[in-house]
Amino acid sequence: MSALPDEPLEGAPPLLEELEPGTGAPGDGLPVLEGGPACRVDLGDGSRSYRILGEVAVGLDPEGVAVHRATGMIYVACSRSNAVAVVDQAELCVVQTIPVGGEPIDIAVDEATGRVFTADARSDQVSVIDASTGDVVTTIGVGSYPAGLCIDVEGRRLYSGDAASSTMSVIDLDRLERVGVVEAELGAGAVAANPQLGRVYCVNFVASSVTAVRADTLEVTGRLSLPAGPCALGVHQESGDLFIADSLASTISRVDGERVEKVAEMAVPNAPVGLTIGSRGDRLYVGNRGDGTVSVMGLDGVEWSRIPVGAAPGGVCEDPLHPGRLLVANAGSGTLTIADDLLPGPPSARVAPVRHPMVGRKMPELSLPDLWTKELRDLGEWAGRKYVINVFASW
Amino acid sequence: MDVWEGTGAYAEARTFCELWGVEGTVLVDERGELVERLGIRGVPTNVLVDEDGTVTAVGASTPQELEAAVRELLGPGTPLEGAGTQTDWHWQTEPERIGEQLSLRGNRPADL
Repeated sequence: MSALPDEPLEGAPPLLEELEPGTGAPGDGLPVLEGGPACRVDLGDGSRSYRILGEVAVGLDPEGVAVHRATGMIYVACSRSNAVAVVDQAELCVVQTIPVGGEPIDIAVDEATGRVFTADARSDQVSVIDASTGDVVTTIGVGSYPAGLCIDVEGRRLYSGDAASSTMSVIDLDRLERVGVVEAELGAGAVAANPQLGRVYCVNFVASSVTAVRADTLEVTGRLSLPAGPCALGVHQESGDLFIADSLASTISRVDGERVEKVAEMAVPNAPVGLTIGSRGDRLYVGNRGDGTVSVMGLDGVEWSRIPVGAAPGGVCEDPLHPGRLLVANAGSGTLTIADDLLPGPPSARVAPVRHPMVGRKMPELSLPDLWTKELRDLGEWAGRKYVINVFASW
Repeated sequence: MDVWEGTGAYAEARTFCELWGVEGTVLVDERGELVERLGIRGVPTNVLVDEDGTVTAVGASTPQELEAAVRELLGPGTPLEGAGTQTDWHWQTEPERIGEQLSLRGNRPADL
């Protein structure tokens, strides 16, 4: 059922065996260290479908994550820290923190120039970082509340989904100038390009739709309604299909990228916010913000395994230097989880549903302040009644 | 209950509630004490509690899941307005206002 992952590429950071092993399962309460060496490590027992290499504290509300292939460094956009954390994979620690604009949500790396880009939502700009120095070399004004980025390497363009202005900005990667604006819809955020088809796609969180655009003319060629809250997408290179995470509906939509028509709708565990398509082309990695896991899914929607990560995961990225290695930004815990997906293909057994350990147990006693009055409210106030607590975060 | 804001919890939570039309009692678990004791690993999560303080469900994040869990909590025969289908999902706030509020949010300091 499981196998060791592919050999790492030359020059890549060390594999797990070089790290000090932990003693328990992932998520078992082992401490997350501030920087320093490997912190939460799980060697596995040879039968697991994954292994956790580490969890590193990076900053407040990390959302986007990307790898600079030339150096192996991981760049994490920590939105509430207004900064980018640079993580050394070999040492499993933050080696640099780079201040950028307000609320950087997404991040992308241009390997050709060694530049890193962040979508600074509260500054209505894209910051441009020189990865060799860690300096912000310039900023580029875009639409209002940019929340998603993607790079078309061949076309030398950067695309930004601008949520509040309902637009997609088009930036020349070499001139570092905004060269076009496309009308999308409200909540425009995550973007993805398919250079083979000459298309760019932008998902619109509030409008619950995807906008398809011709890359050469910037003409809108299609629009499709989606289940509620689409906020991440990937292009499957072989088929050209889009896989879109519908966060509020807890589904993944599969969409024909040329005809912009829905092919399938697949259920996922809980509030999918991050999504990337595995480099092997046979699976998706879905960050489930609602339950602190990443689902490994076949393209048919069957869940192969569920990897426990930090609290409220968002952005998920596969390390191009280590196929199957996942980098997960956990907004709730302020950490980056590094994990290996060990499955060579679909497992024989399906993921079993798990009952939450609190079900059947008594609510703990606790007092918490009221948002509006700041007065302490005791949970005992609701004793004798049936009630629902909705746990949420503003991000 | 608002959790894991990291910074400016009250301002962030108030803006969020105003933006998305959240009404009723809102508690702030700034240090994540309750979610840690409840073993909650993500958001949104609903925790359903019966009259003797026993947790009956954790999760139920989509309208359909929440409706089913609430129906079970309340018991048979209790009237409950249906949550509809996924395609019926609607915002409590008018979309135009959401755009305006997001724009305002973008132009104010993050540490309010």
